[in-house]
Amino acid sequence: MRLIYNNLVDIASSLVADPVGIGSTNNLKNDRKSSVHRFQNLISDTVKYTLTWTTPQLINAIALPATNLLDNSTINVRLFASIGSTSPHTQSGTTFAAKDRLIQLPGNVTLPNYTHFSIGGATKTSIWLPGLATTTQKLEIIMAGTANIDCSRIVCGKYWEPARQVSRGITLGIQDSSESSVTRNGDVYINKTYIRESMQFELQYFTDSDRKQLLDIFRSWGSSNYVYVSVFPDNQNTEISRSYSIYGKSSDISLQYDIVNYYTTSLNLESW
Amino acid sequence: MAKTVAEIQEWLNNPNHIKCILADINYYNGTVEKTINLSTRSYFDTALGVNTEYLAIITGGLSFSESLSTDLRISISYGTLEIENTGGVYDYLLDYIWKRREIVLYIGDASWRKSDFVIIFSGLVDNLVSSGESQLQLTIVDKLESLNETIATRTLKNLTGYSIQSTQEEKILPLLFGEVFNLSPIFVDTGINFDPGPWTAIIKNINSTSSIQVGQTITATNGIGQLYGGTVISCTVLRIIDINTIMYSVTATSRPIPGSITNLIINASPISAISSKTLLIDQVKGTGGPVYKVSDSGLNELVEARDKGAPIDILNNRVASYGEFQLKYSSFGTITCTARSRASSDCNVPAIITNILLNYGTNKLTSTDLDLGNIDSSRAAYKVGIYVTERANILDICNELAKSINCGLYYSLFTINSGIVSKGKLKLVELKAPTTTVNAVELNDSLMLENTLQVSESFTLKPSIKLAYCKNYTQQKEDLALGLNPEVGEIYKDQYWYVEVKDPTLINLYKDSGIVEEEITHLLVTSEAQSEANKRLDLWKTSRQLITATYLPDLLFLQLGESVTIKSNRFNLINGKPGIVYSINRDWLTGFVEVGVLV
Repeated sequence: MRLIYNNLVDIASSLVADPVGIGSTNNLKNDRKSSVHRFQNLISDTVKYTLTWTTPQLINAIALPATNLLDNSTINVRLFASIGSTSPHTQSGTTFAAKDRLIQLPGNVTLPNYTHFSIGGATKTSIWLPGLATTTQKLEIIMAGTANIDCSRIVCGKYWEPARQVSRGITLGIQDSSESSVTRNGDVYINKTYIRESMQFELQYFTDSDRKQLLDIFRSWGSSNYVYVSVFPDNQNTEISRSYSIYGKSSDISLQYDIVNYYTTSLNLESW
Repeated sequence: MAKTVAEIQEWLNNPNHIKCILADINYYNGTVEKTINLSTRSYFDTALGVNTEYLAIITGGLSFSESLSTDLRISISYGTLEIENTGGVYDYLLDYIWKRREIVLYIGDASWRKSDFVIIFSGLVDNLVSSGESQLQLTIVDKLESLNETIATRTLKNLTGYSIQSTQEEKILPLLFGEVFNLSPIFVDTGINFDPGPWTAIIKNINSTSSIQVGQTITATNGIGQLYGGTVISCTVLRIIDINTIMYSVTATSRPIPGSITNLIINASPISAISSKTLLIDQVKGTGGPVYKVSDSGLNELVEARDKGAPIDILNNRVASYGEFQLKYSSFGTITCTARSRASSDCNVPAIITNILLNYGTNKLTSTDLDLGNIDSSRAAYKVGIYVTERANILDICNELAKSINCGLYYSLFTINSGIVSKGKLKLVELKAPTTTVNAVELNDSLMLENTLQVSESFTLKPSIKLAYCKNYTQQKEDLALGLNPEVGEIYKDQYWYVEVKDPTLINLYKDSGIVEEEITHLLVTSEAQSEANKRLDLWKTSRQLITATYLPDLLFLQLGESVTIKSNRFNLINGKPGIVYSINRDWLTGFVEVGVLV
């Protein structure tokens, strides 16, 4: 399980889209899923977000928690030591961004876009760079695809990973908030609203150093800030990796003391 | 092209629709007028030449309700548009000017082009405020709000060239709309400034020849001469006082001003000897009496002027343009008149309201804003009139007029024409007895949500109706002319005439006293007042009820006052009853609509 909590995008000194696209790139800095930035495929197949910081940052995880990237879309993340640098110190290499993504949206939608994000039409993409210790002052996220690319949020920063993986019994939940109304004749009318995900799991018997780190996160981020969590970040089956990722916040935070130096907590994450 | 009503209804009934509300809102940023684009979910308008991003920050306030009332005041409630402002990101909007800027709201699917979206509200912004740290509220109003101002703004102070005394400067210049009976015009001039002549003037210092004789007409082949800038049309010797004082009757194109010095250049025989002399106009006497102003906006016809109730002769030359008349002679008592602002055929409610709304106030409407035709044709032709003598609100006056034909005035949220939705218009809504109407929309159990059907109001039955009409704007009980026929004098005593219609059977059945309070109207004609009273009796001689229920989106586009049929297995509606739409509350976020039907 990996968790990105301190989203460095929010302190980036610049966030530039190339080509410019539609919508402000500031839309990528807020936590409203419907607030997006769009690259038009009509203009370019390959597109790029460039982020810079005034001081170098440690970045070893980049996630896009809501995009419309397709099965054949690719992503490459390049990290540079300085703003002026032209050769990256690290790059992920071009890889599929949403491999094996199935698009089965109601209404025969085959090319989902930002309008479907609230009804389960978004996918998640994450790039993990374990062991990376070099700091970064410029980050490029390069994507390519055959359709418009809509992106709602960029998350990047340093991830935290406990020494032990989460316990069995991870619960994934899908909550459809649509309401049904019945007429006096008995016909049912569906008022479609939004679909949200939830994920619940336990971290059992983790060590004292993980306890300290987790408590730090909870104290500072509380239950009001969104975190990006991936339970199986390196799974070969990218679909599994995507499904067991969530951009959300924990509704309750508690820590249980089990035995000496071992602790347990339960995370109940609700998606944005 | 925007979707039709039928297409929108079908779309809303498809569970896969993705509802999106767009708002185009104008504001002034301190330098220029601009437009901000907001929405309930992210939306890009990528039409050719357009690249507009809609900020998805509208979080609520998209429920609009309209309701008739028995006093014909149509209440419209818009709530406020809630705007997300977490962290004060949009605080800067608070510095802008929003008052009376246009706002248009559209509904459509987030996957549609903007041009497919359909208008659900067009109106004005009242204000943008913040009631909390994370919310902004945009108060919206309909365009009627722009009529919420004084109709008569000119006062006597604005009159120049009149002899009216300065102490009355703040008095409002009256306005007449339609025809009214026996109004009191305001005195504006002694007549001295508007006397059309001819004038008689005593002209002194004439070194006359002895050949001038009383009664002699000065004639000429090439005009007679010049008198204080105007051409002398004729000149007759009235009296020879002495050799230096001769009284002439002069008809001139301009009025000689007493005390002024002029050249009377007589070109003609027999007084050529006095040409080019400096003359003193000593006294001028005209032919007209005092001048009264009836309406600051001119008149179509001054039907009759009266002095102490008796018809008098007037001079008509200032009636059409200035709305004034001049008495031929001095007055003896109270001057009143009956007058018309427009041709008789235009003295009806729709025509007068149109005239008012297009021509008065700071924020005038245009003819494309108006749709006053959709009412009973006989009611639309009833003669009416109203006389405004004090500061009065444009909206109040229009409402008063509409009420005279049992209509309410409102600005519809949108208009539907042949299934196409466009911006709202100012409309008259008629409160009338429901009748079976061909092709009326049927409100039935398959559209009503369960547990929402209720009788929300029962109206009081009225077995009699009494209407006051033909207002006498100047009640005169005394000081009438001695020679006036006593029967004629009677008509000046009462403020109104009355018609009354009764249903004796109902009076007995409901143990009613039969005494009924009059309803004031601005109607003029007895037969029309009678007909109006009958229509109102038709409406209220039955126990009317308001049946309210919440319906599926199929009925979102019903219009206030529309004839419908309501059918349900409850409240005796099993066979269907004709009704009229009395109230509508549309919730555009859920798509449900609460409709109240008068049956």
